[in-house]
Amino acid sequence: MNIDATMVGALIAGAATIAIYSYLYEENAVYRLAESLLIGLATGNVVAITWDAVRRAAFVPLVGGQVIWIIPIVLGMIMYLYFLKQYSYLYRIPLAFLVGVGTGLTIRGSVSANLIDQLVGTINADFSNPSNWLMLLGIVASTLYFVFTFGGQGKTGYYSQFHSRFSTLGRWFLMAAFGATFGNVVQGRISSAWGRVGSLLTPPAIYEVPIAIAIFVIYLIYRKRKHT
Amino acid sequence: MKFDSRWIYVAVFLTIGIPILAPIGLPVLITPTTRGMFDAIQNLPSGSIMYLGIDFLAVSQPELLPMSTAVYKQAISRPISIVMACFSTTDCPLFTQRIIQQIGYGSKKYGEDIVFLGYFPGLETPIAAFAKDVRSVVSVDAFGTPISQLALMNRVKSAADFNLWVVMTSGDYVPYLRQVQSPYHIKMAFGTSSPEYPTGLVYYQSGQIVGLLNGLRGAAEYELLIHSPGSAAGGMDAQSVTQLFIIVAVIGANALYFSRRKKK
Amino acid sequence: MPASKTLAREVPLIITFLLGVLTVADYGVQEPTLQGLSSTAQSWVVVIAGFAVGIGVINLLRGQWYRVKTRQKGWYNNALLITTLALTSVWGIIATTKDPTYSYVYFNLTVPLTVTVFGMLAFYIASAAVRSLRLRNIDAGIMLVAAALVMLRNIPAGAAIWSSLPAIGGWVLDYPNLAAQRGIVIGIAIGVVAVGVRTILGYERGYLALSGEEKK
Repeated sequence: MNIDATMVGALIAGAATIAIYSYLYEENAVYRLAESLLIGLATGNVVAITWDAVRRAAFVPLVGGQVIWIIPIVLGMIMYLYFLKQYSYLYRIPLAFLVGVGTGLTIRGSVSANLIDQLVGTINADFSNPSNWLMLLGIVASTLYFVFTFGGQGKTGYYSQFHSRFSTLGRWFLMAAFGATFGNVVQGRISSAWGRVGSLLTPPAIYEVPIAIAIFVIYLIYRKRKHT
Repeated sequence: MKFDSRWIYVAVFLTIGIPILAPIGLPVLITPTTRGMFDAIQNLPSGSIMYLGIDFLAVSQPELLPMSTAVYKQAISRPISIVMACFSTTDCPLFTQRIIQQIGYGSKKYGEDIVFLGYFPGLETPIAAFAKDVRSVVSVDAFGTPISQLALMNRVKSAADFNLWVVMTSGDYVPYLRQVQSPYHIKMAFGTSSPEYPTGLVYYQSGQIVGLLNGLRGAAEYELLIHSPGSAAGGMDAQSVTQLFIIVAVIGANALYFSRRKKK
Repeated sequence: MPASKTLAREVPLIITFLLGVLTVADYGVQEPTLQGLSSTAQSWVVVIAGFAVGIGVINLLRGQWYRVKTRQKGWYNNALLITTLALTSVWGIIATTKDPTYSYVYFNLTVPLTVTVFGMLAFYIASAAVRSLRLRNIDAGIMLVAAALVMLRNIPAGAAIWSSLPAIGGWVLDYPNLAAQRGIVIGIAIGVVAVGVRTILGYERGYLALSGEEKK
């Protein structure tokens, strides 16, 4: 058997998988070590990639002669004044940039994509199909479910009674949606597990499985003897 | 119910593992939402410009990497130009580079037919900025080449210059709809992780998107459509056995619950 | 009002208002100066957002370093975290993430660890479903039936059991599920617009984290 980088990589990945899956039995030192390693690696990757993005977006054009890019760089650096108690309030200035632009984009985008286009999509549905009438009923009922300002359960009056019953119908539609989402969440989580289990059951990682089981059994015997 | 959950973990491990070792090979039917994305790419006229974002989190790798690989293979086989970039996650550049390394550019020439612009932090803001004026956020590509030296980028000024946007995302498709599809009326299709699929159907029904891939199932369907079965098609066997186990176990648990309630 | 209080509260609120209005106006007003200003603001925010990532990283390091310094239980895990973070960051910045060894470590260690942690949820979701999903009332019944039908629609075995199952599951996704999801999407959009307008006008100030003195 030739040992190459791919094989070593598969063995490393297999060992990492077994270390994390050991938590399914109980929390242990090996799992905590793997977890710390994961956070360090993942966060380090975020730093490296984000630095590269900022370098290409701002520093490269700045060095290329576009002096105006010094402004967002300085604003970005001002954010780190957050850690100096005396000047920490200054970090709100670049934060205001993020919030102002982000909020503006979200408002305009939500009105068009999440409100108008959704209403148009509902109106343009083919109502010769009876299911689309059910869909319309469901949309109205589930939207009304979230209206808490007036009407609702426990109150008297014709509107409140109507709102209460219609909200119940809305809740049933929401339950159907949660069920559908749950069904898809199950598929998603199984996919994640399948990805790693599949790697564990493929050579060379598969050879680590009996070794891991043997180490685990020895550890259980040792622990039992220690307690008796 | 008082029993050790770890026996359920063992059962799930077996229901996932056994079909991997002994595949069943049940046929996977193609759904309209998957067909929609495939047809959208397949029907692009020669010379079209397509945006392809392989923009998912590492946690979605088992579902979205096979999906992205299949879509990429189809895209590079078409006589179109492809612009790739990342807005959602810092995992994106590495996955994009990985796919490019493994599959290559096909008959396409980097710079003329295909470019990779790298990652831009902030999600919705860089998407909006890119869609409005590409050069406001992009000065060099992912490899440090000025975009003025990339012939393809001379044809791309804003989102309006694209014929189709295809994004593989763990679930961040709403910013693209808000900042690209709605203002510029661009055709869009998404590959998404399974939990986000039911919400994505809302935008499919309204016509805002033309195609939507449903996690591993969508990846398996796409592999069949491009006649290149891969890992995803094999993964559906494990899905079948494990999900059937969960359904049967829940029914059994409910039956036991009601029988015990009746005795009381 | 003291200068620092102006900087602490008024200036950020004014910036939020101006940029918020500019960004919204840019959508409908085709005026070149406005469009240019909005485009510039958006491109600057990309850079500022990149710098903002560092705040979270520094906060993480501070917490971890404190645990190492005070030798709390399991401090060596915290030390490992700090070391790995520093090494990966420095290596990724100097050698870039295109370095073959960097991507080797990423795909053979970082990705498997990440996916495995998430993959554990498959075991937990199965366990939780068996132990707690009960047909107690109509709501639970609708949820369970919808979940089962969608699961059977998603798996090839569903079609093998009964050829109509995929169509039934598809109907659940395309009609009742879509109806409720659209209701949620519309409701969220209304909420987003309401909160967004309040934020731009300065009524929502939670993001500033003002102290008691600064609120006066």
